[in-house]
Amino acid sequence: MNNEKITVTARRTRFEPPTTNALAANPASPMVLQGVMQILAGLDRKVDALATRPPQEVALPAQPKAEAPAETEKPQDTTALTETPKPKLRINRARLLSFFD
Amino acid sequence: MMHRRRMKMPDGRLIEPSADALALFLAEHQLAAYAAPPPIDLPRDADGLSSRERDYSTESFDIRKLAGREVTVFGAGSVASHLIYALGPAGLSINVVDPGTVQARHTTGGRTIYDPTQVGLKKVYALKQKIEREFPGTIINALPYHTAEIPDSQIKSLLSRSLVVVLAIDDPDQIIRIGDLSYPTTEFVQPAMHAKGESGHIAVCVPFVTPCLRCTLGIDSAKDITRLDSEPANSLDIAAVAQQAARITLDIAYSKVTGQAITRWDTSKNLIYITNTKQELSPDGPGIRFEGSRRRPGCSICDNLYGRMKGTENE
Repeated sequence: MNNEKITVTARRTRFEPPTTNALAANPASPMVLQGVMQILAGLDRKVDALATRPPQEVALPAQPKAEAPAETEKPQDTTALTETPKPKLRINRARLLSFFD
Repeated sequence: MMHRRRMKMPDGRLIEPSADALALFLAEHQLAAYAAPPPIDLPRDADGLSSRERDYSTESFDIRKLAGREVTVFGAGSVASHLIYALGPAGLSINVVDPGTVQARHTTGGRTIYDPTQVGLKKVYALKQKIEREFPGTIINALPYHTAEIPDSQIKSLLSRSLVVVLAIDDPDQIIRIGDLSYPTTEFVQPAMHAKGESGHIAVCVPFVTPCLRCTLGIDSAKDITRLDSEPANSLDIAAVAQQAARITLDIAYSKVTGQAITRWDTSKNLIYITNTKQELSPDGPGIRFEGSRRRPGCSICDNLYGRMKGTENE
């Protein structure tokens, strides 16, 4: 429900209808029809203009730079300390002593 | 006054032959046709060789520089025969020492380079026949003797004449003997195949650069070596090791002839291990590995050479 206050102004004088242009007031008059036709034509032009407009570039509001997350310390590779390094493979010379020509 | 010579015809007439225009024309053009073409002055490189003379040689390797040079190969078995065949294109003069005879089993499956027509022939003569026919210019000096038959003095004479010595025999005593005699004299290469041909090695001994053969293989005497007789193996594996040994032999010979340093491999790493299968040292497949050797303290062979060197320095 509309909560706006309704004010009613009492007319102390006799009601007299306002003088109006009979031609203009007639909804079927050619002027009204012409006006409607002009409005429709105007709308038609606007629709055409909207349909053929170039794509709009939307300027986005500048966003505040996201702060880089604080670097977390890499977990130290402790395997090198705990594991003994593999010995470098060498030629097993004892295996070279059984041979043919 | 010049007298023209007359010619007597079969019917008794004497005629004075006149110059025939056609004969003269043919004679002139025949001379022109058989004349040597004018020499084409091809651009020559620093060695004075034209591109036609150089053939397929590269800037660092011209195999013709080895032509006529002498090398010695002890052995003419499976490894040695493939190795000598690989040396063929170099046009070397190769002394080959081996007492063996070609047997039918040697000629099957590519075990050696000998063919069935050579069965019964001494291996050294079979080599001479095949190599000299296929590689004109290469000379095989066939020496059908067991190494043990040749006295030290003659072995030393053979070694001192050779650019490189190849020791492709499997007699442990003779390997040690030739190794000891070669070490102070000349560079030598000892190729060998291991059990089933799955791998092989090439020991390279260069006086003053690498230790002796005993130190390289880590042995004290011939008893440390086990000889594998009639070992089954893929012939291509034998040929692969022989090819590598031949290449190394040529590298050393070329370096000595031209004075050009060997850059293809690290010469301080004198034990070359070749795997023909996937193995621990070559987990992805066949491969080659180079490893250095150390002179063992107290080695009489190494000490003899280095002692001589010190004596020379002190003089």
